[in-house]
Amino acid sequence: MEIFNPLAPYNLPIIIWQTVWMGMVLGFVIVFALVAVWLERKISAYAQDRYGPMETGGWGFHGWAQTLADALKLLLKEDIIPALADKRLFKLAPYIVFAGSLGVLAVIPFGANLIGTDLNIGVYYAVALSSTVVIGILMAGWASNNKWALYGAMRSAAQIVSYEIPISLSLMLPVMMAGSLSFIDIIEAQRVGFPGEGYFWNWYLFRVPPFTFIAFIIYFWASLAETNRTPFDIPESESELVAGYHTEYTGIRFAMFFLAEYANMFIVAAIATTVFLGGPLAPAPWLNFIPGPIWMVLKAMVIVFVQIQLRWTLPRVRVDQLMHICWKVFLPLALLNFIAIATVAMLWPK
Amino acid sequence: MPVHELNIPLGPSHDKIVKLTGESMTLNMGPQHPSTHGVLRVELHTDGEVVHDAIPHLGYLHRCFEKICEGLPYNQVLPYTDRLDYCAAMNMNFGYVLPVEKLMGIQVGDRVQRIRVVMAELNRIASHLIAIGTYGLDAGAFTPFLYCFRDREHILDLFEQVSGGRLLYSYMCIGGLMADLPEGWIARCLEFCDYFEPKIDEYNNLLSYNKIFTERTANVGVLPPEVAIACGCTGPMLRASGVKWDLRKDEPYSGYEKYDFNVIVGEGAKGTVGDSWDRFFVRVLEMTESVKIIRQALAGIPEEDISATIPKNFMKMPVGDVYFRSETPRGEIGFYIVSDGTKNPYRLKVRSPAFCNLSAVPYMARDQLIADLVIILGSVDIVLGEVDR
Amino acid sequence: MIDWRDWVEEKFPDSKPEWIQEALEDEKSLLLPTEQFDTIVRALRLDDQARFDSLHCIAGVDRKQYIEVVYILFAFSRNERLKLKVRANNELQEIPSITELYPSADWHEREIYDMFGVYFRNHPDMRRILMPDDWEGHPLRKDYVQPEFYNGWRIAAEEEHRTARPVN
Repeated sequence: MEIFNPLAPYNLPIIIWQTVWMGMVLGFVIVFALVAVWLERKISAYAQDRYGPMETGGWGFHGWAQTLADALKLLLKEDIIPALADKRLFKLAPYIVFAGSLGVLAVIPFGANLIGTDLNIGVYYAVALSSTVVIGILMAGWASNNKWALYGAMRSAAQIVSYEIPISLSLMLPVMMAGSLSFIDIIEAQRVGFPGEGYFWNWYLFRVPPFTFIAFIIYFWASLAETNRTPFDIPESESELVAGYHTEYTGIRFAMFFLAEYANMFIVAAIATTVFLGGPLAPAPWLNFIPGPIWMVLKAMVIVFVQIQLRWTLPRVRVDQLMHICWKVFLPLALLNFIAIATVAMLWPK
Repeated sequence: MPVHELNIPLGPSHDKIVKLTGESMTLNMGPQHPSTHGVLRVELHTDGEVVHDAIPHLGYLHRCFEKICEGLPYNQVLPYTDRLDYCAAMNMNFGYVLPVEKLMGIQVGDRVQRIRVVMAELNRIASHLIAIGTYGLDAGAFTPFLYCFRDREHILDLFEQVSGGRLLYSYMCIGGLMADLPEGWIARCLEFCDYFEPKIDEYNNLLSYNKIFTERTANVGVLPPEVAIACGCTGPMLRASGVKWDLRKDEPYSGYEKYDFNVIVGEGAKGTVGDSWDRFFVRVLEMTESVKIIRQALAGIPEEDISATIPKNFMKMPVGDVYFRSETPRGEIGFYIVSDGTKNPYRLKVRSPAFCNLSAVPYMARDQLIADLVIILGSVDIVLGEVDR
Repeated sequence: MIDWRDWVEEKFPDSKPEWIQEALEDEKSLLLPTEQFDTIVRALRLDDQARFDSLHCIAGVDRKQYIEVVYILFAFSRNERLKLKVRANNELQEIPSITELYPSADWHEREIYDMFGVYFRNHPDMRRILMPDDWEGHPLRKDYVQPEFYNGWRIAAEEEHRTARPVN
């Protein structure tokens, strides 16, 4: 196995390419986070029989620049740190949450060759890194010197750590079917299969009904819990815990938590589309003229839209009910699903 | 207060026993908190998420209403009564003018009685909409809140046409009303009734029968009827515990005996009788009954002069005391007025329903989770204005 | 309809209850002695004939020579109301608490203490409820004088509230 030598001159183009690509992806995700906040406000507004932002931005078109204005406002706000807070942890926490969420971007494929790095343990890396967010949240809750923030942090730790298991189990299905943890291999495996190459019924969502469908559903709901979205938004439940673990955060630190949440939404949706919906693959081969990243973003947006819609429709579950759902409903279901798919794969190897 | 005790053997031969005790955590919910419906401080003693004790602390909104009223003539007390329970101001006015009229021996005419009933019932609907909307908000459902407020806007428009105010009206005065109904108001009110009745199905589909909401609220904060009566709870809270008691039926005033409506009693449809879901659902169904009463009151309303029975001055008040209670959206409000013959009340005491309902919270909150405490507080539906006066 | 005055006198011969009848026909109150008050109320609560199972309201009235505490009891089964009055004659007189008979009396008695300074014996948690815990004075008394300072903050007197200040 060769070791990548970053100082060797023949590796320079790779390094430049990866830096440029990561810069582009990071920029895209930040812009996406801004757009997602705007989209959430509009969707929630129309669901609630009102308009939402309407004024900001040129031509006043439905307040498209509202998030920019809010982000600017947050940047200019006073940076308050509670007197008895643990300053180092307090300052470090948002960065850990941000980094933990965005680090997964390195392995998300936007096209057959458009990927940061095609790790051969791609899925494993994604799941592991996104669970380090827990450390940041715990730091935020503890360092705030606020009992309510501590409650939010404790609940969040329990929630995220528990829901890692259904996520991993449901992601194991496509991994098992593709035979590889690498994202690119999983995408390639979704191109062939049923007669009709490159059509959408090759995607893992439709591959072995109903097992992969169940896996997708479990992954979707567990990912709602990972990103702290309603109905699992207990750690930041506004009506119970004021604002949960980020109660004491103001200004740019709060903005980092906020953007990290929306970026995480996209990343989780991106993983779902890559693994279950074929990622950058077009639904039919004659649509291949539309480039892969567009399909990727489109499919991720559909999932993000559903996530937003759910937030404004459903109430919140209680923390012990949340644990019950994870351990007594999702986990057995995911396990049974896994065993069923393994049986199917053994009996009808495809 | 130690809640857990562990004896841990230490040392190479496990002979030293070290005793570790846990302590309960004391934290304050409020006075600034999104879910306490006002400035209420609840001191919680918790062990992790389980609440051992919840002690409400009041007085953050105390505005010395009773002392102020001792220095004002009877008719000038009226705007202050609006500010008691600002979500149901018409009912507060109603509760005040009834005992004073009883003391002075004034009998108001039929038109005044019917209009008062319509205003009180419209305000009951508006207040229950707030209760339902904010209850959904406490449980995490953001959207029904806005639907309830959208419908409440229609009621506030009606009130604004009648009295000029959206939230605080001072509409009923002693012996009558401040002003008669404007042109076409009755038609608009009946139009609202037609618009509103199907909306209740919408709320039921969105919130009441929603599985997550039911899981959150059923079997949470069960209040047995004996405890409810012992704590002095009244109104929807008492009815949800199974006690069929409604002042509008059992001690009718202002013509309520003429109207045909049901008294909604909690039946434990989703859990036990007297849990938070029952308290919530009783309020939803009471809105339908209020619409019925409004329709009956407006049908056959006579054309009379409403200012015929308004007294000219309060110079000759009889000496004595009176206690009269009426049914507000939160329970029974009682005004105890002591008069010494002068134009100011000697003592005006308000027996506020939310004050007594709130005193049942420590009983309901024992050994519940913190998340449940929020649900329980929301189902009691307090308004701090009348708790603290 | 039982005449409660006769009923109480029969059960407690030395209590000498009196009806107080004022302006309105149906608003008469039963004046009871302070010392035996809780035993009389216990009889009214538990006795089969009486069974007043709910306490509606406890109100205090400052009658200058004494402070009158008014209890309004209610019987659900008979839809009957009874108003009791007890007098606290001076600063130090205590009224026995009826909290163990009617748990709803807990907060009402605390309010009477807060507003009038009447102490209730055997109350589980006798402290102020509406005013801050360290407030001086009992506001609803007729001879109440508002303190000028509270914890170092100056409380403006009424005349100062009403005086208009020039705008410049």
